[in-house]
Amino acid sequence: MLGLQGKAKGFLRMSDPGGGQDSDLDKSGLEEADIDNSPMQQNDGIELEKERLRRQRMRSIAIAFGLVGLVVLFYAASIVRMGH
Amino acid sequence: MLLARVVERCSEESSPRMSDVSFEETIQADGGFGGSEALPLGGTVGDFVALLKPRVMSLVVFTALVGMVAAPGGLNPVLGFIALLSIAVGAGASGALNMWYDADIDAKMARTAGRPIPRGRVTKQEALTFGAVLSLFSVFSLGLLVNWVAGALLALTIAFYLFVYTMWLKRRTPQNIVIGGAAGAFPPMVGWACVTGTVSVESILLFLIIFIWTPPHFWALALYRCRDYERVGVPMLPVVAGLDETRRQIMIYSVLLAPIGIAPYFFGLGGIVYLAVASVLGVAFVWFAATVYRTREGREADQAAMRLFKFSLLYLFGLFAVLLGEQVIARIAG
Repeated sequence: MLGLQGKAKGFLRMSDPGGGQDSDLDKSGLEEADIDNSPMQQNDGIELEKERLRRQRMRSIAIAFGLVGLVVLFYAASIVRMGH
Repeated sequence: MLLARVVERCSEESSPRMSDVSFEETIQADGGFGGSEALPLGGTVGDFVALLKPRVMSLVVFTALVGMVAAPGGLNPVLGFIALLSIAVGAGASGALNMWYDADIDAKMARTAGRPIPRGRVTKQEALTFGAVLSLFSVFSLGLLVNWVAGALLALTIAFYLFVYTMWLKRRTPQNIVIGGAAGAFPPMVGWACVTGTVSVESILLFLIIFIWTPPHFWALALYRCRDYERVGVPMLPVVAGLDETRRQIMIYSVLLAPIGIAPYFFGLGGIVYLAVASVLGVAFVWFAATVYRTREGREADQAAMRLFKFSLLYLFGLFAVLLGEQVIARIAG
């Protein structure tokens, strides 16, 4: 979890050129272009994108299950109430 | 101004607490990512489940179930399941709305800093939308599929928790828990209304037990977490009136609670086993409260408050579990 958040910080720094002023990379005098071209940072970005898509997919599946459950509940309740 | 004037009482009287340590640890563990800044990843399904406050939800479902079972008459099992599900979702939705509104102070308190919004895993807007949609779904499901008295009571519960407790009282008065506690006391009434379609004296009695139980339960926690509440400016009784006055109030409410706890026996809701259990638990509750009242210094005072807090959970669970057990046995036997 913490590792993922660390990567997320890197992701934020890459997407916000002004957001990483206190980072070690900035202190060492590297330019933003160096950060963007770093293979490690690019890998982190790809991993984050994969994770983002995975979470989005899981949320979509949960919503789908919720909606199907709701339909089943309304159907079952309608049958029960008609039976009364 | 009132808060600013009396807020020192908590600092003067309280010793250094574990909560301070855990707060710092929480911030470090968070990687300095506290506040409402959102990660670009979006929350997991688990984060959204956490917004529903599952532990609170389980207590709500349990007390609502007792209300349903204790009510005269019966409910089709399918409708009963739908009723409990709607109540659970409604309780969860109000929890999500509470986290949406309180995100700023949650981030500063050790007990709540790990919640999804302060950790930046879910945005405030997502929590608001999630809570609002689930609130509407739960109320309309209960109203349409069970009955509208129960649906209206659930809507009242959610609205009371959000508007009266969270938005109005919580940051304004030390009586926040006393009045706001009504929101947590409604579920057995909702459960009762699911079966009968009405509100009766017996269901009000179940409401009263939780209503009177809530202040000593939360004030015991507030005694322990006093400096947390002080830090964020929430006027909990220990912060505003001091620890001694809080201990006195806990004692008063505990003495009130003990006889109210046994009252269901006299209204035919509970049997002789309930009377015995409620009496023993009531005496024990007063004893734990008296220990809190007497123990005012050092770590022993913190420990006494935590023991009362934990016992109060056992007390409520015990009372409602015996009520449930007796009703189930009576129905099987009858």
